Amino acid sequence: MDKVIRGEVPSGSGYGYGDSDYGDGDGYGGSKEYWSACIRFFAKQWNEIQRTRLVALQSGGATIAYWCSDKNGRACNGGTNSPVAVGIVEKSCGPLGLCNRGTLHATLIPPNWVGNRWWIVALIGEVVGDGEKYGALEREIIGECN
Amino acid sequence: MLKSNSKERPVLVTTAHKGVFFGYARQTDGDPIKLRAARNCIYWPSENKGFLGLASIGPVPGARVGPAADIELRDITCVVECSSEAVAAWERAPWTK
Repeated sequence: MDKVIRGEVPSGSGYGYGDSDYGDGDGYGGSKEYWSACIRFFAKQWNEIQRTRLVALQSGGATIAYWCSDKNGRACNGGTNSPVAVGIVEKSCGPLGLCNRGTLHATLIPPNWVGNRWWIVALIGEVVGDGEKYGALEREIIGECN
Repeated sequence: MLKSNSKERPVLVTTAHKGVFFGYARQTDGDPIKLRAARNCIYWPSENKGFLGLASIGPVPGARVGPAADIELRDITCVVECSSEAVAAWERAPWTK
């Protein structure tokens, strides 16, 4: 017997939880607070140079977030780029604006985006965002999520 | 009704933002709820037999689960206590994109 401590069991497809009795389902992809907290988990898998770089970028005011690529490290949510790797800094001429071609993007809810590979990135300089999705004209690849 | 007390227990929590999380909580009343070693369930297959299966048997193969992180959850809609079987399944579930 399930012990419901508080509230009501969510039900109904279309509410985001799938069928309450049988069937599959999905959550929204979490929250930006959760995925921000997970950056620490992923950084533990990196080498010392990467962890030091993460701290330096955070201290410098960069926005730390996720970017999802295809299996080759290329953009797969719109846009084009050369395959990325740890340490690469991408720069764009703009214009700066969310969903604009010419803006480099990142997110704090990576499950909501397509991609075989997830990367932790730093958006450097002026950053625009809506709380879930961010854009800048400079993006540094700090490490991969493994 | 179960008492909310300071003893840590494994729970499944849902939010108004459609988040589904497993984790360990000392307090389950109030808002926010603090969860230790929280795991976000991104997807669960039909073999889970629905949302409550995540609390009774835990994530089955094919489920997509995020890594563990300590977080505070707001806008709580439901808290369900997890069985020992579910806890074991959550603990051994690898994180999956």
